[in-house]
Amino acid sequence: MAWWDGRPLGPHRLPVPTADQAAWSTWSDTAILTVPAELRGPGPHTVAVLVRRMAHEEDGGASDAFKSARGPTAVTLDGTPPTWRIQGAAGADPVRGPLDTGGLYGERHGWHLPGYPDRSWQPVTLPPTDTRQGVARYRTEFRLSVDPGTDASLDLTFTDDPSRPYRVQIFLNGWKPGQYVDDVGPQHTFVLFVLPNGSSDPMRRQHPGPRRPVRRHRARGPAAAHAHRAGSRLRRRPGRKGSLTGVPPPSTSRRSPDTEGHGPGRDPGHLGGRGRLLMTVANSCATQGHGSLGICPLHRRPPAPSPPKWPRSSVP
Amino acid sequence: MLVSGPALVRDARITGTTVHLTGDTTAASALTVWSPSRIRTVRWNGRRVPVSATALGGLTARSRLAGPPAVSLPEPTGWRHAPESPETDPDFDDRDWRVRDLTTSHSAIEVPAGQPAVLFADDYGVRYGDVWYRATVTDAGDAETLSLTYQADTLG
Repeated sequence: MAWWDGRPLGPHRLPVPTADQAAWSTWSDTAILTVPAELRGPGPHTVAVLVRRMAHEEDGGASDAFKSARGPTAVTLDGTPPTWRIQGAAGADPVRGPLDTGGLYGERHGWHLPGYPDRSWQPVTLPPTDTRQGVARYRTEFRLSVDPGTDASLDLTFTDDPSRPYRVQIFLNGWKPGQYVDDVGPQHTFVLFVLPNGSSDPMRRQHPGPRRPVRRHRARGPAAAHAHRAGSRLRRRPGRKGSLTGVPPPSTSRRSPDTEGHGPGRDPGHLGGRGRLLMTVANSCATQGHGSLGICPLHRRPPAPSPPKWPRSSVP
Repeated sequence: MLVSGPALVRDARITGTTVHLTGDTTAASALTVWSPSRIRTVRWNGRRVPVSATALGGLTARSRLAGPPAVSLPEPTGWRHAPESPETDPDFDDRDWRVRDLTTSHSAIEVPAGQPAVLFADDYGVRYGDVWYRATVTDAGDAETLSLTYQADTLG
């Protein structure tokens, strides 16, 4: 997407692959964007370009394919190349690693993290009405209370009219489960985490340290998102005492005051934390839609032995 | 020992005349155990299960094992919204952004002819996620066309 003096010049996107192109990793194209006549005139003028590069190539053939460039390769304004400044991610998240965070303004300033104060944000109901070209953020918070003897994975499902070309990045307590592209799909359901004690559970992480309160999650999303349980299974590993912790705050941010949910002494297998969903919507036109939280099949698991001493297996 | 019924049996242990089973169910489930004949009592996840002898020599639970309880989920409502992209504003301060001034690249592709500097994001240490580029042009009052050639993975 590009802007001229703050006015949108339009989006551009690579085509949806055909079946034959499904394995293509590197695509290239040229966006020809016209500066409207009313914006021309004596300068200076400012050009801003936002690029979503998607993934790098893998290098299964050991052919340096992963070195293939990403992002703009050549830009000219009436044939003349301007001098650009670049801004990407502010630095790798010390908790979540580099993959969850990109270079959008909100990502550089921690808008996707659990402790970010969003009280000044405007309450809205989804579907949203902000349809300008650019990035918008939607944040909400939810609380879960799931029986400790139940394994469940929670997912977020988007439903919308596929004629609207927008993209959503989903953040749950600062972790990014995925990206939704409304007019392409085909994925509409994103697994947020697996219960209990799953390594993919950003609300409850196994931690070798003392039990800490689970912190709340927050996620933001564009359309109305709706949570639904994907399935649950009760399970506890022998000899592994579940100690639930929330997502540790990055060293650069203040610890969230939101420490309700799992207090010390509560069953660590009980999911009762608070989720913070953040949806980052990149609009290339109107955004509408609806999402829902859901649950996969449930599983009832054996209770943890107390004290957590597992009997030796002695199957005859 | 043979156990039939539950979705998963994790462990089986015999003490005296009791068999202790641990496992999972995905729905209310029958339970039948074939075990050494001295076994009289069956425990499932620590709880005693009333059993009857079957004609085939097993012990079968008189009532089904409980399945997982229903889970209720909140609707994600209460959204708050904030617009973003202040970078598009002509007055945005980008003075601490890195100027693209490299002339050589570690990339596997050639730097396109006519470009005074490498534009590839990776060469500037920007490897993941979205990237912003800004330029201020002073002598482009009559500029009509921005031509932007880019390379990305699917749908970039």
